[in-house]
Amino acid sequence: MSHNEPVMERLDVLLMRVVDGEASEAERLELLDLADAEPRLAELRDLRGRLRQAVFGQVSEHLDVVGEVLSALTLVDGWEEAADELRSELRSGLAEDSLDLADRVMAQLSAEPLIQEQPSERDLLEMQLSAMVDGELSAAERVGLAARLGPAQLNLMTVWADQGRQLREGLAEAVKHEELTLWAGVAEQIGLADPEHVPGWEPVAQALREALAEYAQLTASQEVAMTAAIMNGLPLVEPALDFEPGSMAADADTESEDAFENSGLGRLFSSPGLQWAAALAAGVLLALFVFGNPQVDSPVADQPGQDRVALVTEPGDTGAMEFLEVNDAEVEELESADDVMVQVFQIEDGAPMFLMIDEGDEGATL
Amino acid sequence: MDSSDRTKQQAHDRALVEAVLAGDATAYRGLVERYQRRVYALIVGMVRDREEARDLTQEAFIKAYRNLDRFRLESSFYTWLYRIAMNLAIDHLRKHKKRRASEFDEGIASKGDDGELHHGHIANNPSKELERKQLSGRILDALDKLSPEHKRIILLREVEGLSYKEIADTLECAEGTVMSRLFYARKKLQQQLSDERA
Repeated sequence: MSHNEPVMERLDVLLMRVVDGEASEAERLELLDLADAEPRLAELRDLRGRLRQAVFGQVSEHLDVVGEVLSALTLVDGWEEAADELRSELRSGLAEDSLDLADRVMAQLSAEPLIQEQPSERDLLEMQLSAMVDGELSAAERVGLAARLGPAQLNLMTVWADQGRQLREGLAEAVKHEELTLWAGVAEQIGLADPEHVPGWEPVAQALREALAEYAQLTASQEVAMTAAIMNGLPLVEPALDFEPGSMAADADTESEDAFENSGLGRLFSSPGLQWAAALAAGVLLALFVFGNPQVDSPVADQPGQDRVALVTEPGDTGAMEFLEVNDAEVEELESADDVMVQVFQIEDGAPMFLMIDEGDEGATL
Repeated sequence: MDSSDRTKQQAHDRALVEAVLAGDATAYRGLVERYQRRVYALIVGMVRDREEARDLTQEAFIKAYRNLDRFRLESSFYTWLYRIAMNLAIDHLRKHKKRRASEFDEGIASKGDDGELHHGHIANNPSKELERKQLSGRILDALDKLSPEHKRIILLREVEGLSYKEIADTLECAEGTVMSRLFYARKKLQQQLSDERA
């Protein structure tokens, strides 16, 4: 039997292109011509007929047909017996599954058969053991098999189970550090200009942007107050008590900025998105503090002394400060103005909370 | 994964496939992200070359996308995808008979002049780590010596954990064939490991 390698390779390529659905009309015709001229397929008229149907998409299971053709083409020795087997099976109409048939044919010929054509009694038993390892036997089958299990069979099942585990671990080890992000490459190949595009998202994003812009609109004084509220939550260096009016806030700001920038939180808040989120959160906190905190404008008699508020009512008074119980602090009048800066800060957790109102030329109130 | 999870997954896959078929190509991203690692692991097992496996995995997804209109919605998307991926891997093996296993092995363990395994990094317990990696290298070497068909069936079962029915769907053969083929593949792998030990 002659074995024409170039023709074989070409057939191989063409068959794969058909399987992949990428064969052109000319390639399909070329494949059929080569198949008709191939000695090993000469007598397999049925197979060539089905190949013709498969090539032109007239049958859905064209992979089976191609599998058969490849099996026939890759056989070298003992082909006649295999061909007889194949013909016999095809004629008898029993070959419902062509890959099963290919296995059986290959079992007679290949040096490394996928299956044994006539498995021994022992193979049949072990085949069941293999299925039992996979949990593929019914309860009745398992009971039937149990009676035949000895130490050798149990050991074999253990060996196979170990093999499977080792294989999983080996492959997991091989791919564990792989960062797989194939989507961008796939998207490009399937014609998507922007792999991150989400259909229908843009109108939603636009509405969201508008709503946020409206909601997050702040006056200058609100922004200042918000900054102060943020700073209040940060660890600050304790300032000396004998400070100049207006300077304390500046010093605290400088020190706290350094501390803040060097802290993990500072790095976190270096993100513009987070700055916005923090600003919004702080605004809410400040509003609660100023407008809603019952400790400011109403007595909380059952928790005396829990928090302290330091009030220095005279601008420029850098001397003794009077610490009042929080229950005694009251907001008698609340006004708003654009040119007033309000800062709220606390030296450390549990320390008195300072409220500084800087009215510019008119001085500051701490 | 139990059967109810699989059923849910299949329903979700089907919804994504339908969305893609209806013209929303971006829905395909969900399928790529869900299966890329699994397909990649299978192909690595087949071809033993990470770079080639990566390319083949991408190719499998592209091919599946282009042939999505042929996919039968009542079937499992992943068995169909695995079939495409495995066929690509087998095709690749046939076209490139010279394997580059050494490149692959470097990631696991590299053999020095003395034939011993050396490692790029040392774990907390070096001797155990060495033993584990030796074992990994050995089993993958043994796997590499199997025929592509045996390799394919053993990977689908042991790595991907497909049932016989799912393997039968993937390989388009009968469940009985899966049972016998898998048994012989296991025996062959066992034999290879014994030979290596000897």
